[in-house]
Amino acid sequence: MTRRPWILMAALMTPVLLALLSGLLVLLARQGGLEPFRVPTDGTLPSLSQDAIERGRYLATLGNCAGCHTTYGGAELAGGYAFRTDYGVVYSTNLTPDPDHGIGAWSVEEFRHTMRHGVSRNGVLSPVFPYASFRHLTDPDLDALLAYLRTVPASNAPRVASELSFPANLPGSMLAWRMLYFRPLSVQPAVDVTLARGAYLVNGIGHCATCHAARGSFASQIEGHPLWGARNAGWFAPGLHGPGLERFDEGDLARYLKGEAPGSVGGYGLMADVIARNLRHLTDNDARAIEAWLRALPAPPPRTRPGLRVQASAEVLALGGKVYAQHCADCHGESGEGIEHKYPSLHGSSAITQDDPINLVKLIRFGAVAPTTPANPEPYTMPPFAQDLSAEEIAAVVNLLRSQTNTGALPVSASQVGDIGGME
Amino acid sequence: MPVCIMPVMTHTLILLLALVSGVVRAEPASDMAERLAACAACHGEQGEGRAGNEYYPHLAGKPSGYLLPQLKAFRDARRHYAQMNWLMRNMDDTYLARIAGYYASLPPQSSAQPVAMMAADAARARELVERGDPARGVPACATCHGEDLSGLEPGVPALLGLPPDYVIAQLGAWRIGTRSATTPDCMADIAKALDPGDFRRLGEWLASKGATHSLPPAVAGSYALPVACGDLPTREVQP
Repeated sequence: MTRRPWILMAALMTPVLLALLSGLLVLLARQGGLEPFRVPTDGTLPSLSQDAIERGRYLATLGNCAGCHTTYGGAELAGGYAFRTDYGVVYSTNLTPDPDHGIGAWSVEEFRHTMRHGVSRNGVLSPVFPYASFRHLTDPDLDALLAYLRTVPASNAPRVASELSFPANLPGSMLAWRMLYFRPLSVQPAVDVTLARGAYLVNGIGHCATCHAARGSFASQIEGHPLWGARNAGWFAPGLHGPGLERFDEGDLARYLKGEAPGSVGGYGLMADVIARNLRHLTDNDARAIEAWLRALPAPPPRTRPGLRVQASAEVLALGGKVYAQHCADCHGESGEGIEHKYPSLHGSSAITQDDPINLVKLIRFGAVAPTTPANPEPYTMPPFAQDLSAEEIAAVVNLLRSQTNTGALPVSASQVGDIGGME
Repeated sequence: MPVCIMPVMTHTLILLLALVSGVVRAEPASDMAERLAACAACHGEQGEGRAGNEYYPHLAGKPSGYLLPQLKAFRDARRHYAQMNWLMRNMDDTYLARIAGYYASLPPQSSAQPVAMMAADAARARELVERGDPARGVPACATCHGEDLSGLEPGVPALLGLPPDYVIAQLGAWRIGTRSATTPDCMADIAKALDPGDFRRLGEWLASKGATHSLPPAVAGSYALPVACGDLPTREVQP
């Protein structure tokens, strides 16, 4: 009598356990077996040739290593920058040559492994670290990166433990995430022709998908990560593809990336930081390669929208018109044409044409200025209007601008404007 | 032949004149005003501040040796004001120096409105400004900022014309360390030594004097400072 429940239990559980085990084995096989989890902690040290260091410096600049691995005002590359994700706070790590707290003791094999597999001596890393992009990098480029990182001043800043929430705080959650959502890349891309170079920079060290691609379940990158635009870190990173980039004339996108602000179109939001710290150092050839590759990308399939959509009322549009005439027209022109060499035209601006209003609302509330670069040493500035316009007035002018070019976008309400904040 | 030469000569003359005048003529001030539309939103078209606002300080006529370190501090998040940090963060030293120079070159003026205060508070504030608080080791404001409180080139700003809440916020920020300057941080030392109860009196008294302020800062070296201040280009200390 007492044995019967046990037998019943075993009879029921055995197939379940077997199914789980086989599932795990399939996932493991798709990861390339146990290889990603064997971290080669010993091996060869990087060759510190001047050539490698300089190439590594260039790649580290394009890849914005310091942007994520440095706190505002903190020691360069010493980590500690907080990423506030949906699953808790993750802190970047110390990349300086300190042997205990940084990566000074890492071999080229370990560094390559971590960049490609997201597994280091410290365990399985959070997907905040874009190893899904860095897996595209070639051995020589990864070795050059490590060589450069060996030359920066060492800092003994310790690792800051993540503060994760459920389910990411469960033991093995990073491993489980990785098993479910990450696939190692086996082919090494060609790097000789312009398009391939552009693809290599965009998908690899540039990790553009981190902001410009939407995420799947549990923040996983969608396979092939099309750069169709996404809201990330408080901004909507616009879609990067041929039709979406028509606003830029041939060659202007490369100039924009290098901080020239062609047609007075300069980067704002997080892109301003990326241009100021990273992309302005692109070589002309690399900037052109990125432009060529992005223009070659196909647009997303057209959205099907219901025939009946809520539209902004005539009163709202009239208020928007009044606000525009009073506060916007002086610089952007009566009909949004801008003033050459000073203020950009609003025609085709992604802040207006995209469905997500966050960029437009933030630009109006907090103002903007393109980064100062040698090609644009004294940029014109857009004033903040948070102190002059009510949320209702901002919503009205946003709705007016969007009603002219993006008739499918839902109108924005004053309370939505009030909810959009943060000058991050 | 002379008929043909005339237009050529005229053209050459015009070209030469244009070149010479182009070299001699200073860059029009309006150019920077146009570039700095964002600054004008709070600090005024002429750097006079914002009428009816109790916080935004005027910039016009403040020494560039004061303004430039402040701009750099906002850029590098050593001074904290989200809107300023936001707009400065990707500006280089050269542009910041141009901006500081531009506002320093404008005639000093402020749109801050005088506030009414009680006679006892005004007397205490005046005492601090003119004599300091020797018991607490606080020098008189006037010993550094000038007898007329219009500042001293190249790095001591005017105190008149500042909105009261701005002054109170700065003293508080120095005291708790959210605003700091290069060591020796004289203003932090003073704000820590002051009785915080005096912050509001000082802010209101300075504002009560300053609406029509239009005196430029005193010429560099007009007088020596009683304390050493790190952000000042010259560290003149009275023996």
